[in-house]
Amino acid sequence: MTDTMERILRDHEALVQERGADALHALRTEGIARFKELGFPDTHLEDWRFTNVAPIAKSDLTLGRPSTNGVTPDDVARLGFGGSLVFVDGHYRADLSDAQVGVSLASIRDTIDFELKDDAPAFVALNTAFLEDGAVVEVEGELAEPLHVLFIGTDGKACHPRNVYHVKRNGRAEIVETYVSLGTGEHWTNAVGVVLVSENAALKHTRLQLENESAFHTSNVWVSQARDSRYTSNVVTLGGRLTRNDITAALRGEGSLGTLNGLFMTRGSQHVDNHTLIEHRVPHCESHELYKGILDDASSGVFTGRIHVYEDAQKTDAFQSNANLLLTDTAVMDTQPQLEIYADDVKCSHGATIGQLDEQALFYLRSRGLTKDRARNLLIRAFAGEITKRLDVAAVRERADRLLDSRLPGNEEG
Amino acid sequence: MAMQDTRPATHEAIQQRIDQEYKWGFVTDIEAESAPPGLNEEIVRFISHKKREPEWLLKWRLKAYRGWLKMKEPHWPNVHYAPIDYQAAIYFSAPKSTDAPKSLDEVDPELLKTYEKLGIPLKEQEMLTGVAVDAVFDSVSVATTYKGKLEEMGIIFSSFGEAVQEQPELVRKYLGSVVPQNDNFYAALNSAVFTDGSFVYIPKGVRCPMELSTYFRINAANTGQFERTLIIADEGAYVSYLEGCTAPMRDENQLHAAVVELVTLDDAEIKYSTVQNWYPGDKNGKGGIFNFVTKRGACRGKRSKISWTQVETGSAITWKYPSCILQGDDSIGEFYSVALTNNYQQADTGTKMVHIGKNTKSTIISKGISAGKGQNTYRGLVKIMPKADNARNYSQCDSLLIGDRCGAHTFPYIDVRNRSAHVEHEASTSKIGEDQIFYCNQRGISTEDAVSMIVNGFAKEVFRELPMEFAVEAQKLLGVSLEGSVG
Repeated sequence: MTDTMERILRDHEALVQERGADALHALRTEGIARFKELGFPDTHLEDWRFTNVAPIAKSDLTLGRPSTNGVTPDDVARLGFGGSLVFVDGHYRADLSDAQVGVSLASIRDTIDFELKDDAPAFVALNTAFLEDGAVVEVEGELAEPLHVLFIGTDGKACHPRNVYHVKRNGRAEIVETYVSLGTGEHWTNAVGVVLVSENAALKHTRLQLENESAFHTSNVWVSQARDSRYTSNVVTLGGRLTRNDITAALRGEGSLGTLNGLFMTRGSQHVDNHTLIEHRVPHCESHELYKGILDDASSGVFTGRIHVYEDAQKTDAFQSNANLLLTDTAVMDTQPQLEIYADDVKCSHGATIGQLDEQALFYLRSRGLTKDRARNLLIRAFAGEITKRLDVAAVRERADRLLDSRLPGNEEG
Repeated sequence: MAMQDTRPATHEAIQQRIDQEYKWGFVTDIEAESAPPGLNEEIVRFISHKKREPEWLLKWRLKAYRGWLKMKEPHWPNVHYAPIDYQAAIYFSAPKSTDAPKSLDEVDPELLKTYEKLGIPLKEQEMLTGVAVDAVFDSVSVATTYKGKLEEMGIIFSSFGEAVQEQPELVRKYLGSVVPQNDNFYAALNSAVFTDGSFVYIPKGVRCPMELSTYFRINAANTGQFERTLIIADEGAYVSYLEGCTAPMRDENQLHAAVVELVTLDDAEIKYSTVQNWYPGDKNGKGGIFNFVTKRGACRGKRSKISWTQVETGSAITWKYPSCILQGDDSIGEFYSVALTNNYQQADTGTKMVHIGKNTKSTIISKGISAGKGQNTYRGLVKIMPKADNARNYSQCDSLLIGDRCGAHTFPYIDVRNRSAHVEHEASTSKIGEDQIFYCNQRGISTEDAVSMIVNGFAKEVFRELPMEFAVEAQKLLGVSLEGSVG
């Protein structure tokens, strides 16, 4: 057994001691047993072929516990967007938050299915083992302002937040999760999100990953959509040393629409892996997916996107696109756009490209007097802009654009 | 409503076509000299001894066999079948009259009849079409036509067994150089027990004047077919090779694990076309061939080219990925495929394009057609290695679904390690629309003809790559397997 596994078991033991047999106890026990059985995934598993989590398995991180130290309101103002729910190392900090959490995980234990599925991946089992805290939001009617949720990780800590968003019938909401680091050291966020969009409801869900370049980030988001619902996910990854995002959107009610957008820009030796699955379980649903990646230096990226059309899910309309830009010879991109179709009256297509900046476009711009750097940057920004322009919270879009700008050659400030 | 009017007719047509029986199921009664069932070192030695093979080849087989013992049967393909008992199969079966016939007159008339039923009367072909056929009948090559003519040009076209006797240096140099003995489970099994196959060598600067062709056919019950093909095109050479397969109807599943290796040196080109029509099993999914094949070509030389074209309409399960290793600078790899699954057939097929040399190009066009309860999967890899500057790939995978109980799946893997690479992948899924059928009906085209027209149009890009006589056969095959089955 690895040291990390031992530490995880010790941390779990301590948590059980502390919390006693509360409403989530049985789930935690099941979670740790499953994780013990599965262990850290290795690259022999098809799902992890291109992402090696050995650095996480070898890291020396302890479980984040509730505390009142370390983070100041100034930090929150600097790192967040205001109007936030603030979590430090996975725990809600009422003293730093502007908004109030009305519901606790334990209180929704009976209304939301937390049971581990037979095929639940290792990191979901691990998250379940440490089930304790997270953003739980239930929306009835329309949320006037976007709700910001800020997750601050501190050096040396591992945290396992469980977020639950339920937009009820005819409801409308926009939720922005922002993941940041307080320091520059290693820490690990292993988040699980459960998203329920009820009949005729709509949710826009943005995840902005801006953690430091030593951080590990793993996430699993499950979305379940009811009849005539709308769900939009925007996943923007700029930070983290090793990031793996899994999202599964299940279209369970007729007439629902799921949209998954993603953008990452990596440098140094960053690694970003996005796995998406759209399940068309019933007829007459629509899904759109656009993921883009920009890879600089010796960074690496993975995209695996699957569209699964179930038997009898007729009149499905699904489109998936993945485009990647390699800026150097040392960057590596692996992409697997996949279609699995068991119905005949469907419109499904996917496309994937990997390439470098178009020489002719560069020449065109240079012939009009732009410097090489400016021409290049303009094209990269335009490439990324297709996603950032879809971020409709102005503050979030501007921040993402600013960070992208700062990473372009010639204007690297930070 | 007019749309509804077309429906019942359409439905009947589907049923009719789907119910169509396998037309080429018949068993030839020829006494076979077989090895006892089962697989062990003794069988490997028996096969090697029977084939009067040199010591090095026996050692090579044994190494493969020992490697195979340590390997596990792969289960990652998107196909499902009952476990295979490798000890129940017979690994060697040869027609009894093995005295090499010098001309067609010496060939057993029973054999010739079989080919006639298959629509490849050797005599006729020899005279009319000018195709040299190396017919493999249950593992042993029985007749090779046009050999003399080819010999004059220095072209070697013989059965694998003959090549081992007559061209040991060439065989030794290239055998296993593209697909190593222990490349994968089925390649290792083939390397240990292969019985025969074809060998082609085209010398420097020679353009093979005719299409070379082999018809493979599994005949005896319970025999696995393990043929091995090796084609070498020396500098500046060109050859077009056709491979056709048919098997008689049997209740039990039969295993077919072939290995094909292609090598092209500088400026050489090999065009390899396959029409695969092994027995697909009956309409309840009983019987049929398990077609687990390893095909790979190495573009060793600069500006060399390998082109795979396949039409896969048979087999209960197809599991094959004809690949190109583009080692030479400016080399080109192509893959054109039509795969059709009907009833309970399953196909997991595609290609691998590994770009190693600079300015290498590859094209992938895959057309999958699923009907009945058929499952059709495209699985492909495009890999651009760090030194493959300016590599270019274009992939297109289209699926056509006929009926609402079949499936079409696409699993492309794209790994890029060089920024100058330009890689594109596109895939789409569609069905034959009621409005398309209606449009044709309206103009006096019957539903059957309309479907046939649409399917052939869908697969046209691939048929265009086939040599003429094969294109005709392929279209006929699609027709028989599918005609009119629109949902």
